[in-house]
Amino acid sequence: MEPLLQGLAFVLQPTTLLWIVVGDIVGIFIGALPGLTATMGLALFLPVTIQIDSLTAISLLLGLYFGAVTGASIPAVLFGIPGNPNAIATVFDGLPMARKGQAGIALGGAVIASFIGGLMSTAALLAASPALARFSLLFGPAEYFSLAVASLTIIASVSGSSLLRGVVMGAIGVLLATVGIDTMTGVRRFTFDNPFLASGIGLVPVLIGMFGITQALDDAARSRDLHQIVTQQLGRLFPSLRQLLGMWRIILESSWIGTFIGLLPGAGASVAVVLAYERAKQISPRPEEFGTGRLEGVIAPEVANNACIGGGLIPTFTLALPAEAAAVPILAALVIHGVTPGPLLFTSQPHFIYAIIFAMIVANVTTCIFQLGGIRVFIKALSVPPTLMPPLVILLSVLGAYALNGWMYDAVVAVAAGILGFILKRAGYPLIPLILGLVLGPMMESEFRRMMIITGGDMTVFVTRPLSLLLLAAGAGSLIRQLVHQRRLAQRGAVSP
Amino acid sequence: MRRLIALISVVLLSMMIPGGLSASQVWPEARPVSIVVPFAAGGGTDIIARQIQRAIQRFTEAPIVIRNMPGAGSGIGTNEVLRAKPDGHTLLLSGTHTVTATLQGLTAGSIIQLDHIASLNWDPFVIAVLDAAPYKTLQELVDAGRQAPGKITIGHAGVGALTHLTAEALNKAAGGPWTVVPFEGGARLIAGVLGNVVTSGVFSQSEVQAQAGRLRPLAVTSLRRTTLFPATPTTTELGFTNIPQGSFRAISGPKGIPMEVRRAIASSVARAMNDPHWIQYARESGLVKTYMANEELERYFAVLTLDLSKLLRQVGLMK
Amino acid sequence: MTRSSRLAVAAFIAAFALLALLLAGQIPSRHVKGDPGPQALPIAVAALVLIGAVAAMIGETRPRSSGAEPWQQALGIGAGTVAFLLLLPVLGFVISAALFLIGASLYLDSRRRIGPATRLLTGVGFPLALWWIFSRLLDVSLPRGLMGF
Repeated sequence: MEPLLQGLAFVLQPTTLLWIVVGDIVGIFIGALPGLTATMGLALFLPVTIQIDSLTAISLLLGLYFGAVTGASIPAVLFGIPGNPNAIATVFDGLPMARKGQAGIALGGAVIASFIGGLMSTAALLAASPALARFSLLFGPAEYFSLAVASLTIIASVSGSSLLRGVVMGAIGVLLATVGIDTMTGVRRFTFDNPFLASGIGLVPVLIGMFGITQALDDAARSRDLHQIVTQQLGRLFPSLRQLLGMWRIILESSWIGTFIGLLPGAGASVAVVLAYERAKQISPRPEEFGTGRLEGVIAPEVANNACIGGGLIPTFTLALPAEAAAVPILAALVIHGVTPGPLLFTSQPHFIYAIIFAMIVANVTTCIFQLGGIRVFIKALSVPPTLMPPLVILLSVLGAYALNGWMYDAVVAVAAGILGFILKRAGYPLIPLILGLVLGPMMESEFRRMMIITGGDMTVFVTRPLSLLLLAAGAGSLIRQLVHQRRLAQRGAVSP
Repeated sequence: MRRLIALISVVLLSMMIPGGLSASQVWPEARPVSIVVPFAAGGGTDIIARQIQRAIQRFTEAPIVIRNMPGAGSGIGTNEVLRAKPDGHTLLLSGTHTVTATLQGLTAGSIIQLDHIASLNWDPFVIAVLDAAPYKTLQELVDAGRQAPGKITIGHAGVGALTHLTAEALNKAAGGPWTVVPFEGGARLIAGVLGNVVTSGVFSQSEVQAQAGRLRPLAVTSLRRTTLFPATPTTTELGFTNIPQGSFRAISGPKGIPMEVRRAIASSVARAMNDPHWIQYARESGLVKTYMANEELERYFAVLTLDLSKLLRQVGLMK
Repeated sequence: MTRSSRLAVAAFIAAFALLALLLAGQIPSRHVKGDPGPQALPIAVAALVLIGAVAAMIGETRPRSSGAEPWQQALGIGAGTVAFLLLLPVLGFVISAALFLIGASLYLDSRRRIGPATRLLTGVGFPLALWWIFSRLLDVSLPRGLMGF
């Protein structure tokens, strides 16, 4: 009990609170600027933290981390340009919601969802860190591969009416992801001796192009009809309690998907949000409306990305294993201040862990307050005259893609993806499967091949390892269920036109 | 007349002052110096770069800025520096990664198209297994591999990177008892060994130190035993030859920087390496201090290039 | 989109997949025991795209009703975006962004609903503000161009 109070007392000190708030505000700002990632912000602030004590430093970094992940939803919803990879799936339904005049509730819902996800993963960190960390180590290449296959199967099966086009787009995504240096052999694929192509085709530039720029081109094409700015309904910024309760399953599952994927080194928030989005689509009674502006489509990924933070910190604190790129600077901050992460941290310095937990809770609450307070201001960005909006969005997209790595190449990728996305969308090809293929393709390929190198080509390993078998069975089960479901729908459609 | 003389002397003096300053201080001029880090923000090399940047900044007026330009195994950041003006205001956090990237043709120029100014450290690798594993020495790991071919695996943190070449070099020196398994990054590799996906791995010292009690170090790739792992034998002691000694890091710039500027930068780096914060950081991370400047460092890079090119050819990553 | 343009898109995807398939065949194989190699997945996926695109082409041959959607102005803005990209390394971020914003909004606003003062102010002010935030505040360098900013 005493360490608990010590931890609480530490976090409630005015200076600690002040640092968390500073971290939050800077984080939201960084997250909201397209192309700036949480990792970048943390790396910028790491040297600053050397002068302050370790817990204050960690509190500042945690505030910044939560702020940046949550703030990324702002440009994602308003312009279809995610601030960073955490918000890639928020674009899918957030942008259509803003187009329907529901930017307020999309942004508010995103904040509430982030808050819930953050708290859920904090709870997991508090309650079950050592056990979860051990569990995450059971995940080897076979399990990663089966997870990717199961996810792709689910995605294909939920694609609905345009199954053929969905599969084509998903396969194009997987194909684009193979560009670059092969991580298993070092062979260069489709690179034409260009060092930028050797680095591959970036997920975020493609997404910025296919959502930000594609939408801007579409608006430009229609600008004669768009005399009126879409009136934003600002009556409600929060989803009602009933709406949230109605989504309990999606919220719960997204929380654990986020926490769990966060635990796995190398999988990353982009995988977590994509899986949460697809799972929500599968749970929802109206999967066909996903992508057209469903609130669940915003809630699921936003719960998952903040849950990913807590998840990622679990192996960082218990195994000194930074599962997320953004956890590397946090681990460095611990080490610089002479704190040795490990399971012992929980028993030898419990007040330290409790202080961190409270700092996470405070960071969650303050991020939530600041971002909610700002929504009415952020939405003003949508009252730009309709003839000025498309060029502004394109400018922000190009800037965001460029700022990611400081490469013109990424800006070129974004513009190319934007123009191709416009044409493909007009021809009736869904864009979301391409993004999913781009996220999951590399995981599927490299994990399969790593496993084959380890076993010398023995493929039975995917079904003899129990977790892997379980995942594959889950994928197959969902495929069968969806096929049966669709068949029924098709029969009903045939009877009543 | 006296007023005129006074005026002229004031004007002359004011013209001389900046000239006088630049004569005593050739580097840096009163504008930002950027250090290009060819890796993403937040990674191991980036953190080292930011520490040295702060140490230099403490006694330097012009802002020293870190620019992260990741990609193509450090090739993209290196290209940026190759193209920059050789005035000492665009520098590269170079090292063994620069050698492997240039040799693999990931850059627009070769290693000799850079001016190598000052070295920072060696960061030796550690070969480690799970603490619960039955292998107490590197020799036992080799024997186990010989007895059951294909059973013993050694992981590394990325194709074409130095941990990869180290794993291959060790495997070759031991007669090829192991299967070499690539991972995407250090964190994946640690999880791979902790999760018993692979038997062993090539790690940095700080990685193994953070895993004390979970990973067992079998050998260090440095010439002499290190302060962090005094009880762990070196690969040289164990009779393994031609093994890279770990990551080497230095500051380089585009070719053609005037020698007095290079000396000024090198002495700034030397001064920064005596900064107490840097010394503490380097000690805790197990970095082996290695200071070489200009001509000496150029010769050293030539040796490194020769050694690593042999290894890269052997692995088939170099034409 | 009209049926023929949808057919053209499907044919374009098919051509792209065919090209990818041909290039994937040329990826050098490097043998590691057990590993299916670096060409396996690209070949399989390119073939899948090719089959899918051909199937889509066959599907398009059946007539389907489709509403005509305007697209001409997207062409103009798309061309403007490409010009903006080409100008970025030459003129730097601030100037090329200002030119792009003002040019594109003039092009879209054929009836001049926005006053010239507002247009100039947003067109110049917005890029300047972004440049200040990224380069000055956050040390993220933006394309500098020949004049240095």
